[in-house]
Amino acid sequence: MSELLGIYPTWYVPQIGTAWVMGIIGTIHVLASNTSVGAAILFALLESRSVRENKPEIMQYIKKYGMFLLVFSYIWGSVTGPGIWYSVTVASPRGISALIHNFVWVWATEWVFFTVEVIGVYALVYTIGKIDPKTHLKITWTFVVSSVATLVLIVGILSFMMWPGSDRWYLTGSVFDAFYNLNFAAQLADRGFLMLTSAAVVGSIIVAAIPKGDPLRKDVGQTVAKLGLTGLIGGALAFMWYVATLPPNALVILKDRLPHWFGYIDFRVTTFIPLAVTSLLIGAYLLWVYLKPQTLRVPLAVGMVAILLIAGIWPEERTRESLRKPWVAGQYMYSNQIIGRDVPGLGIQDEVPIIAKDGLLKTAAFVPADLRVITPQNQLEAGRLLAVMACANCHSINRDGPLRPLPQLLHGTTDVAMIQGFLAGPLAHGSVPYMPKIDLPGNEQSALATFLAAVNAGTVDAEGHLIARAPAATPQRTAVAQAAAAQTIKTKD
Amino acid sequence: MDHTSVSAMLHALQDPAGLPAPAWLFQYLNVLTWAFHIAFVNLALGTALLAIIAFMRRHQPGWAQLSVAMTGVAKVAVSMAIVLGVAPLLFTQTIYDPSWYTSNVLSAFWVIFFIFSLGIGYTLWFVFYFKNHDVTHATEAKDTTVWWATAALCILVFDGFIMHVLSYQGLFPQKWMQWYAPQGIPVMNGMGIHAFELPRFAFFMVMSLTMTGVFLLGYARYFRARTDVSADYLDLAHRIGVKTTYWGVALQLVSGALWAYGLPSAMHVFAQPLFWLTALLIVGVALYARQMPVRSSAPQAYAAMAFYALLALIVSVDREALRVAYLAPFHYDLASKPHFEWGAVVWFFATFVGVGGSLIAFYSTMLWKAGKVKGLYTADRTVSRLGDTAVWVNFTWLAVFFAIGVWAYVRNIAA
Repeated sequence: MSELLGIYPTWYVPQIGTAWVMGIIGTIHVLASNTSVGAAILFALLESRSVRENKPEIMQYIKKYGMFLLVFSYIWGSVTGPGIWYSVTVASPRGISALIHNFVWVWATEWVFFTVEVIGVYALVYTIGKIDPKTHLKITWTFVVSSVATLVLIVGILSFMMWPGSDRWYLTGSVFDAFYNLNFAAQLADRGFLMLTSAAVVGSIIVAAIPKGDPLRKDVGQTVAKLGLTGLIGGALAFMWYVATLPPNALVILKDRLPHWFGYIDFRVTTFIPLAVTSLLIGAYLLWVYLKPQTLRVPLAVGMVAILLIAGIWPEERTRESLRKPWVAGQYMYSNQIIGRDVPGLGIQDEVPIIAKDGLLKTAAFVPADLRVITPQNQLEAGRLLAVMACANCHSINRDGPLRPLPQLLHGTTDVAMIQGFLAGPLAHGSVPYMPKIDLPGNEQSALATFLAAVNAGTVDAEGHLIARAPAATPQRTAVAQAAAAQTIKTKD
Repeated sequence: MDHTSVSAMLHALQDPAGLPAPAWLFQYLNVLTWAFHIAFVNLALGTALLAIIAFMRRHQPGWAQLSVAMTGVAKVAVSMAIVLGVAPLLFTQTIYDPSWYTSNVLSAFWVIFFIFSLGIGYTLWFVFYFKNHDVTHATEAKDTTVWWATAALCILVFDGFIMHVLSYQGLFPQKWMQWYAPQGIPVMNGMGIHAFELPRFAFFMVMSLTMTGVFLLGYARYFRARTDVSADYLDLAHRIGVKTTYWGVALQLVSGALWAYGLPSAMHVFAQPLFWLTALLIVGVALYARQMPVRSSAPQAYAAMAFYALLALIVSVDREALRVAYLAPFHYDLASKPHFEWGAVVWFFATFVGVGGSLIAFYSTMLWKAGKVKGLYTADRTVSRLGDTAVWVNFTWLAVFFAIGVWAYVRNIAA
């Protein structure tokens, strides 16, 4: 009997795929949580000044921003925080399991700070003007450290997802080696600075709500703007450090995204220009808030938050997620839930050779008995299951799906042999740097290729339903089509 | 699937990284932290229901004030329930990873629905809070305002049901494959709700009344110290507390009995001391509340809350014992692959006790004392020292964190 691999059932989302579900929830969370941590630092700076210079009116700004934060960050931030866990659980159960089993104590530690932070924010907001200023300042400082602690703890895990940065963790399996990885400090600096900018842009809404002519507008507005600009400049510098700590596979992907002067990377722009434009726009806005705080209006400030979310955080988070490809955790677990290298420190075994020998359908835990053996009758269904298990985490299977659609990447070919050639060649040998090594036995390659060709031909949809229609188009057996298929497939977002 | 196949499947699904501490430690933490979580879930749902009922009676003396107070309590309790739910979620995933992940994937649509609906439900509650947070204008609120709260509560209860389903489905590994591929073809849309047990769900829901009842007893006692809070209002809160506790206990007994009757006979639930201890505690809460005078002493009033806390802990133990019993036929071994890392365990407990302890001590003492004072509260020496300690401990934690970081980072780079 074949060895059983602990691969969970699959949740398949047509069109956008599970990756976008995670991405949408993650982006909302990043804005809410970044703003919360950055705002905590802003509160501490402002409140220290309020006590030092005896300016109690500053506390009114903090109270208003704090109330806003309760709704903005502590409803949607605290819901989408566990929400990321839940969405990753259903999209990539083995990936989150790998992280949980390595970092359970780090997450448990973060939970302590998270709990303190929630109590702290209520205490901070509702005791303004009700307890003496010195004691209130202590609440604010403990709230700041708790918020920062949640940041530093999660960044260790996120940066490990990128890579450990050396071989040491693979040999020791120690959480400390995993946590304090090569990418950790740079990512911490980058996120730390950018959350100041988030807090400043969101905080500008509260500045805009201060009555016109009130000197508090200028006083607080300039502090908010300075903090945001500091974050923006610091974030840009830290991003260059961040790039220098990335693994080689991520740098290959970045070739598509950064200009040549940015280190040693070729000039291609798919992410850099939108992010640079957004950064400049936000920088100009914050400068304007600094110079002309009295002219600021709420709708404009809200618009800037929307721009930050849609044109800043969304592409940034998607790029960061893409850079990890083909891995999802520590460069030992692939995005498609298969373990792709040994981790002797934890006794973890590479599963690729097992699959190459026995096949995915025979070894994965959740495969119906009838599909474990491929027959001419079940070939399409087996091929569909293989496509969903091996590919759907990163690719739309629909022809018009937005997530790197397989039909488009295969140039719409209906030539089974050509698709199988790709499966048996670059894919089986792991020579595409941003794709997992998917080395399937011949019969599974054939079933997968048959299914993908049928989707391309339009005779089967991505859900495996037969479509009654005219005979498929003539297979693309031209030299051009073959040459195109042989080329390395470019990644797309 | 036969038991041997299920056992092999469960073993294969357990994470190959194994457990970084003894399984019993995670099990204990899971039970303890779930008790914290359910306490605030109960408080949130119970006070939300009471806020709605009180709102509808807001023209009677005291009820408007009660509605406003309970609206605020529910608002904070939902936040606490969410944050305290993170820990049991973490520990469940650590030791029951096959059950949790499989159940979630099989109902993935509802998992995502849970996230967004929880956010929407909580937002609706905040809308109600903004319309019903000022006692002086509470009686002027429009009748339709209550729909915000009603919609929010319905959504939150349904979210509780989703959590129930996710936990419950995980107890039946022998059915997972059938649920995933009912006709031999995998159904991957995650739309299915495959198993639930209404008496079990109802038991946890009606426990909200018990919690809210004992909370009101403590609430009424706490505000006796405030001269600006009317004694009639606090007497009303006390009486409603006793009555709500009765209702909660009665419904818990009914739903608990139905739940127990529905359990597999092989579990011999009525022969288990835990079952009788739980029943005794439930009845005990009602009897204790019954004998409390309206103007009870502080220890009497707060002991009722301690009684509930003990009940929540025992219910959490029951829940874990049931899970062990459900999975026993498949020889599910929690500790199949240990790789202990004691440094990380020490790290967590040092943070839990040191940072958590000092900060909670500071916040709770300060809020407790400030709440009893009308107007500005100036910290006394105790609160001031607790505050200094909390700040000092917090910054020390950060310094130690980065010191360990430098050591580990350099070691990593040198490798």
